[in-house]
Amino acid sequence: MRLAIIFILTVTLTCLGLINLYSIHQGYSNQFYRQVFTFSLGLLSLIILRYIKLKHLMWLAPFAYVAGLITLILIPLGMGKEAFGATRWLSLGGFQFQPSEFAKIFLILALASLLSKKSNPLIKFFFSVLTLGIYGLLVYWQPALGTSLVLGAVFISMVYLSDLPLKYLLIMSVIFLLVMPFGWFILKDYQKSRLLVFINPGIDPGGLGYNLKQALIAIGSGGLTGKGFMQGTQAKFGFLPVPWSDFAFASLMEEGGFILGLLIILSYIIILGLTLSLVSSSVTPQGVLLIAGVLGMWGFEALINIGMNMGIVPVVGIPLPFISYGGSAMIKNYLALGLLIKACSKKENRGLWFS
Amino acid sequence: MDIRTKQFFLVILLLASTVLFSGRLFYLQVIKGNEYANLSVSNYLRTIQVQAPRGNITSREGTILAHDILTYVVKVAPADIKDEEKIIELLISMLGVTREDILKAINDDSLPYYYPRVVAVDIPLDKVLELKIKEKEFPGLTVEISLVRKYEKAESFAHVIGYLHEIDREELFILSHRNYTSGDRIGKTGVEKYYEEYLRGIKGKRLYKVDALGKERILQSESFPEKGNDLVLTVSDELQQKVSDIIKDLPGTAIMMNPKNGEILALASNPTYDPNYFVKGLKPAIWNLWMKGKALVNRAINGQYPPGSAFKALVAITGLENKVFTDKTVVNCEGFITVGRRVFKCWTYPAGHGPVTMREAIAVSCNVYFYTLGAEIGINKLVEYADNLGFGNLTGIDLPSELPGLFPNPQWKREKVKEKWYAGDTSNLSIGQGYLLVTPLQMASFYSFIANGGYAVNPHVVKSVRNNQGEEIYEAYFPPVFKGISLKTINVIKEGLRKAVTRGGGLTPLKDLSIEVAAKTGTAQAFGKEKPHLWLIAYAPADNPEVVAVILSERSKFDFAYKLAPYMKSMLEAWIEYKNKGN
Repeated sequence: MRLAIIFILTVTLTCLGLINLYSIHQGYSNQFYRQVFTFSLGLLSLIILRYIKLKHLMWLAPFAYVAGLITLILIPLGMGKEAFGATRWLSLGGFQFQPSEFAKIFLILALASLLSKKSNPLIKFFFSVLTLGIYGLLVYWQPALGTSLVLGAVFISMVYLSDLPLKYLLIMSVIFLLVMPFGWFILKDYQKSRLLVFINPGIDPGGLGYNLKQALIAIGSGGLTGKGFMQGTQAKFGFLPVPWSDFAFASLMEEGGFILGLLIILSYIIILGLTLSLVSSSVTPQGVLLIAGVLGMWGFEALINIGMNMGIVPVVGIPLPFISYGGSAMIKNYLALGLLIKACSKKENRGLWFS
Repeated sequence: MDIRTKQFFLVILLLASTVLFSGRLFYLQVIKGNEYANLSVSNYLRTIQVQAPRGNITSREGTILAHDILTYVVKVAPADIKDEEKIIELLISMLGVTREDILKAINDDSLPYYYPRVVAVDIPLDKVLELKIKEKEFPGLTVEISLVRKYEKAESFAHVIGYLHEIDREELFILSHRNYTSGDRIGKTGVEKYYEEYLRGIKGKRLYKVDALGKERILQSESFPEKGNDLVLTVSDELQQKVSDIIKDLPGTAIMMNPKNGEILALASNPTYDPNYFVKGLKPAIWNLWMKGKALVNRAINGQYPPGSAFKALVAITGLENKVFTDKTVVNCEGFITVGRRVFKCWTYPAGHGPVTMREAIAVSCNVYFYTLGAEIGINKLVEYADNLGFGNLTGIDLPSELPGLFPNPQWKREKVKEKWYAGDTSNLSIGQGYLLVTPLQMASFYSFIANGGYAVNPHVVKSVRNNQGEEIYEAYFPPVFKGISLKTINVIKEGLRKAVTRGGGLTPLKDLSIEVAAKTGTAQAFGKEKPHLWLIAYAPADNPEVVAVILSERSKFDFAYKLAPYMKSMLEAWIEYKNKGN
């Protein structure tokens, strides 16, 4: 029942994303048809996942992790495709995909497999950090700060809901906070300025603050009821940057207004809340961990994206789950839904305890 | 911690996010919704204002003195610029403008980013064609037809008409609610400033719909500009030119005014300037020259000088009106008089004028007579009459920044000089010296009052304002005001002033004119070794005056005021010639 509600809500959000694509391009949109196509691929991957047993998934996890690693390495080796100043895409047999999106799923699988093993908690924790670190750094170098942050959120969420002592997480956070100030120096210039703009949006109204300002104008000008379908001037005339992806929420707010905004926010909260409640209905540690991973991923992506659209979080390149345009992300999100279904299936969970 | 507690914390996190997000969304869309809605409209709608042609200014004869003409200007729109450096280099090499000026225009943040700003004016035709071709190559650069002010007979009329210039930040701050924007022209002095509201016209507006790149401009609506109203001056082209010419070698000012209605027929201030330079661009050398000579100062209304003997008429009026003296009272001038412990000399010292009555005293400008009269009248009565007859007050001429001069009184002296008022101060005042300061226009105004038989008029330079249909929407009318001085008193003064010309002294040249002239000289002692300011004030015809003329020679090359008589003669000759043409 809960899974059914989650499914209905994700499909609804996907449809909203499609409406947004149609609207911002005034109907002349390749993105719209591509998104419809990847949506069907997403549903297809849900069905395929039905036929793979969770046991086998866990067995596959290390191989998937290594496969993801290879695709991530291929990018800096010069096989990537550059866009918006970052190299995040890989071409494979005519299809382009974003390895970093699938890396999120592979990380969830790998950590679920790793954290459910019976061994010394400290060693387990060490290997999990390593598992995260390799992916995180490779993604960070693309550069895709947003995605590496999502990977971090997945890790934290899974460790939090695992049987590892919480003090590990605490100690790690403390170390992280201490190292943070030095981290400023490894941030790229554009990332520094994004942070500065977030702290004071007025510093550069023609440049970086521009994006945030236009997003706020788009949301604010939507008012209570919005400007109406295909009537959003901010997106239509190009003032709102990337209204199909990172700023899709702002674009929807411009046309749909406060009422729609409230519905979208509530939809995400319900999805996340239900996902969280699934934790107690899963009977195996692997299941719990998978749910925790998906929860961390969706939760972080949704909250950060909406937050940055409304100017309460710095601007980072994180798409809004289900709504933002992007094939890899779409498939990844339905795969994640598939993992939830796997994790809750009583039949599937049998015989996993001692693997 | 068991899984339930962990879940509980996450639920709290989710609820907090819900509250935070919906609150923020409510704030942005509902509370600040209208504000953001306006911002989004101003994002895609661009308003470009279209300059309105300014009204013409003509002389009373109808000669055009100031009008808008079309020229080519180069504009730069910052929002559309691709390569700023390339544009700057092109403009510097082709038009010789400076980098600072271009950058100042581009970085003017009081205009919207998309707004084209003028960077060079008055572009010669051959360069217009060259630049027009380059418009495509240099996005953001445009050559447009624009209006610029052109002043005819500029140097002669400069102080009456004033000049236009780009509105500055301070003015913009005060006037932004009256539809002024940065880059607008605004009158800075003269009637260009005083009648700004009549002259400026109504700007047109073009509303475009644009996308974020500033491309695909679609004209949404357009309102056409409306030309400003035309001014007709009271100043005569013919007289003004001649008067300017007459005082060319005489730093100071000359005014010619109709005492019956207050119309200024000529008002020249020397040195003068060419307001066209403010349009074309002012070179530092010229500017420095102007600053050195205070060329921008209109000496007729902004110059304040002691009136010297020309002031004696007021002392005479006060004496007669208060019956301190009659016109028959005789004062014996021995060449000096002792007031308190100080000796005050007549200008003939060591000789004296002997026994003089009022008419003679005015005619020969006997200081001793007026020392005596002034002392008898007392400072309080002098203050009262001076104030009534306009000393220390603005004349109210329709030119900006007129100065009121200064008429001292005991209270003023206590406050400003920190000294009490001595009898000697009254003596000095009685012959127009001491602390007393007047503007030449005040003197013109005062002598008009005498010439007009005791009726004061309001000096003015604008006769009427006409709208674009040629209808008069304003006509100057200032009825003469009776000042409470009896005609008998005035007539005594007038007879004395007439006698100053006829008695055969230095003013004799004025006797040669075809009409009877009355006149009064004045010598204002300047401090130290500086040369005195000299006055010569005349009106004609003596029995029914139709013109009052004032000459003030600032730090004069002459020693005596009567040496100005030939200048006055030329001025009055010019007036007679003008009059004989049927004006």
